[in-house]
Amino acid sequence: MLGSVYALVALGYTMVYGILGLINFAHGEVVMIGAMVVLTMIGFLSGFPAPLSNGAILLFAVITAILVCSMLAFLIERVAYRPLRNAPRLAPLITAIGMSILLQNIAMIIWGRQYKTFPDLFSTVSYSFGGANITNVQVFIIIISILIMSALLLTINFTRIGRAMRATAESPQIASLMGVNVNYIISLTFVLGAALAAVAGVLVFANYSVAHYSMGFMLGLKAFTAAVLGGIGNMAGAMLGGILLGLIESIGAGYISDFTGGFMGSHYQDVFAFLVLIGVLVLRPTGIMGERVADRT
Amino acid sequence: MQKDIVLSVKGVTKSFGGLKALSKINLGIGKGEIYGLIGPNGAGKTTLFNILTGIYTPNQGTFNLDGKDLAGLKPHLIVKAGLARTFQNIRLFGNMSGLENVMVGFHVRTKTGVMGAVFRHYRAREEETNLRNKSKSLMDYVGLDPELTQPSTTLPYGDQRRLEIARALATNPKVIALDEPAAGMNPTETAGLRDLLVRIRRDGITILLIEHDVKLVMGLCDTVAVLDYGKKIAEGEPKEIKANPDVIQAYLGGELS
Repeated sequence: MLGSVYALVALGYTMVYGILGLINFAHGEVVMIGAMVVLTMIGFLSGFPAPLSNGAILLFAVITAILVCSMLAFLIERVAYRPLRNAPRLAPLITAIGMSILLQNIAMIIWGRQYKTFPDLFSTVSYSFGGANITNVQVFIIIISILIMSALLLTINFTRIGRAMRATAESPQIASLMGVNVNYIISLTFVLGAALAAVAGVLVFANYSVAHYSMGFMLGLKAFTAAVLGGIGNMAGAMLGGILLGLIESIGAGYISDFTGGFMGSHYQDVFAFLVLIGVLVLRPTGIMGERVADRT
Repeated sequence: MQKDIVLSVKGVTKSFGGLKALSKINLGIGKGEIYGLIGPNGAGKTTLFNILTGIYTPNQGTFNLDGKDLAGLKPHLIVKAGLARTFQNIRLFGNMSGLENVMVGFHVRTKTGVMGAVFRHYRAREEETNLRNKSKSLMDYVGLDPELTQPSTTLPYGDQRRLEIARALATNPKVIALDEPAAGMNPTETAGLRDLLVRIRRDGITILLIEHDVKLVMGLCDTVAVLDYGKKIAEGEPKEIKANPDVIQAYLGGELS
């Protein structure tokens, strides 16, 4: 469950990295903005004179979040990355971090510092099979994630736009000399990644029922870890990495107390993601599915 | 001799810092001809190609294709206008199959956008199938097996060169600019290339050819221009060029006298 959300966010990192060779550290914040916009929209739509069904409210809210996040990502690319397209690689990395801090603070000003709770739109039902518990929200999350990821893979591999994206990823210059409008493709990549991030934001919010202006930071770092684990720049790798990382975290958090004889509890969950990050970087920097050492200076 | 000019280059000048790579180059490339561009290494041939395809903007001068001014346009718009190229050092999309490389070439002549990709409506799917078939027949045209699925960089060298030509042809150009297509080819491959170029010309596409293989150029081209130190020192039919003392002095070193 957690894994499929990581996978969605990791895809955003990996697509941008694949095309620009840039780690878009503001990506986690886009997830957070997605969650916040959904919250606002639900509040707004619930107060509508003509009552809407809960499903309709959620749908409208999610669509709004996707639109807002897409526009936001488009702007981020325009303002923070495009002017630095040909700058040394460190420069856009720094603006990415700057953008991340900026977005957090903007969100804090708009939505405040307190934790937000997810409105009760639908009741949570818990199922149990074979000793494992799963809620209807989680089932929904998994289904949505799988649908979105398959659609994305099909798009990348079998459509004109997808081909243009892969061509741009290999070499922006050659792609443009073959008639691909590279700036358009790059904007599109950011927009697609942001749309996925918005969905992921909603899913996380619905599952944990809490949102906070800083929630994107940790989520972003973990999704980045997932992308690295799978092999950054590789789409299928991002998905696999996300799901694996989710499993490692859950299992780790579940058993850590047994391993350490009660010394460490499940709140040490976050440790695992970063142990994985360090492990991958030391042992296999190209990740599980990365073939080439992705370096384009 | 009055030619019907398709690509006309007027006074193109390009300097890099203090180095004048090209100065006041004028060329008139006639419709349907094979136009050779030769010159010693560093004469500015590839720089001229880079200007024509939009990688560099000229400091001065302009060029137009069928009357449409192209100087200063973005590369993808130049391709759209009908000028495609290949590269001196092969620049294929290495992780893609040969067929996919050609399909990228079709990008500019197809329309399906994001919505089509997401919803896969009837027209989008039809276009995709159509595209696949056209790409296969193009590969066939240049003499490649369309069913090859291996990454394009693992193809034999000569095949990679042909694939680049197929990819450029896929953009449906009026003029195709080939940067040393015979470089590194053995005599058999060169002969095959020569046949291919003749076929391309017969199908109505003008060819602008940079080539070091003098025999190929002299045997194939209708017109040849010679660059030396960024200046055009001669232009004419191959036999005039062979006899031109400036050319012999600068480039051929008397070999062909």
